[in-house]
Amino acid sequence: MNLPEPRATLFERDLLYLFSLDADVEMRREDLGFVPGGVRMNVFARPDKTRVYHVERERSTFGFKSVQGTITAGVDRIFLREDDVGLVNVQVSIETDDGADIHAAYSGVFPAGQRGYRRLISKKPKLGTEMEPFMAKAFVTPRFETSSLKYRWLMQYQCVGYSQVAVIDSVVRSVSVDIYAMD
Amino acid sequence: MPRANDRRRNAPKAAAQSEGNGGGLELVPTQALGDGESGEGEGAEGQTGVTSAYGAAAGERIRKLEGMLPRYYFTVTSELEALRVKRSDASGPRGARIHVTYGKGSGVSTKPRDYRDSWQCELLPGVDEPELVEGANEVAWRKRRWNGIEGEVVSGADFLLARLDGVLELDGRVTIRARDKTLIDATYWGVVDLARDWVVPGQGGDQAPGGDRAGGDKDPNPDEAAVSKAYLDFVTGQVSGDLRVSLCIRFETNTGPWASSAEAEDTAWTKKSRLKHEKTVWKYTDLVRQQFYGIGIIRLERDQNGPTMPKEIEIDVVAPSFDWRRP
Repeated sequence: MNLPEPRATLFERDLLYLFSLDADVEMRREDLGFVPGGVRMNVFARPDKTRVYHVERERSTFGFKSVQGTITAGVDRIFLREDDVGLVNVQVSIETDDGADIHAAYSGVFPAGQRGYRRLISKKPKLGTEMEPFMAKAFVTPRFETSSLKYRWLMQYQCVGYSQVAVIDSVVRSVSVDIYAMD
Repeated sequence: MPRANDRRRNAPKAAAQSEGNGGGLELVPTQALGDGESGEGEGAEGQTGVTSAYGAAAGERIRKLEGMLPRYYFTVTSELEALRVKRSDASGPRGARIHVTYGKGSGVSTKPRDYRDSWQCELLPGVDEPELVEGANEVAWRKRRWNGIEGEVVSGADFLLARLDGVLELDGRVTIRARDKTLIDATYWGVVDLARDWVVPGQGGDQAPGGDRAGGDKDPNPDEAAVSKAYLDFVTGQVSGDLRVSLCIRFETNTGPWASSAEAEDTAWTKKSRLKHEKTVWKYTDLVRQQFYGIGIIRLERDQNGPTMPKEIEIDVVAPSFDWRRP
């Protein structure tokens, strides 16, 4: 069998920064508890404590209007696996400062670090402190939907998000995400 | 609002008449597949190989399934609050997205009458007690597969999508809290034909999407005009009424600290977990071990400023009875 020669070069690729969002997590959380393979919990964003913004305060991205606004509803259904890896399943609605609605639903991975599973659920020892929060990385793959003509350009991109999750006393307190478009 | 249960209550009579066995729960054992002993197998002469054997057994199986009744578990009722989509033209390439949240006035309960009809026994007392009464009551409860639930919806959202082809896609997550503090997460999805699945179209001045075609003589295959009208009427808030929905539902809840092989010898630490709910684990185990379905109604109201708004939902949660699998 004659297989084609493997490529020696990679495709051109680029990541273009779109916007960031910072979300405080509500104290009201739903700990469903143990399910086969790990634990399940739901955490909610606090609408009055979230912000969607461009870090350089730019007014345009790709020549289009950049996204600035707040999260009006957001929930993350986390499945923390026994192998210290968390899976996130997020649904958020963003309201931009000029009144447009943007919807996103995406999943991702959240490595909780060595023995993170045990420390997060047993609090022995607790994961992170007020003075020194445990900062975990999370990687998400959002796609966006909107009816707004101003932001319709968002829908043509598969995006990736690099997140930092702050854990204090074994409880997730806040999430910050930088969203990039794959181009 | 018409009860979604009404149709199910009448189902046993219809099934009994059609099957003549009052339930038709005795199905072909799996081993019978392909053994050529079923009646359908004899009628499939001339066919060869796996296809004919499978087809014969499947035919027998489907005929028996027609008499199978779903088991009733509980009913969810909740007011709905539509958050998103402010303009009537708010539609993306796939349709109009509506973000709906579950609001106040929600209730989750196993209705004694429906339980009795479905399980052929009465609900045991104490089903809504916050703490399980130890002793004889627990023994009686544990003998049953399902003991009912009382609780409320603590959070929930549905990201509805009204598709351009006049179909409503439901994709929701709901968290239920039982009175004994157990949290149960439900994930559901479903599709509803806006041009067809109306319960009381045309009554009380309401008009179903799709016009006359969506009326009493429902067209099983609405044409393009009816579909377009159904979609446009819905996203412009021109309709109201009760929409019949059917959902696929999956539940998740605390079923105990299942130790993986690596943890098998060291599970003491889970006893200290803030996530353990040992007392109630067994009550809701059945919920996570099978596929569930929801049959019910969404009440829609007109909204001149945007799409038709879902205002209320009532869903009966049922599961297929697979008792026939047991020898």
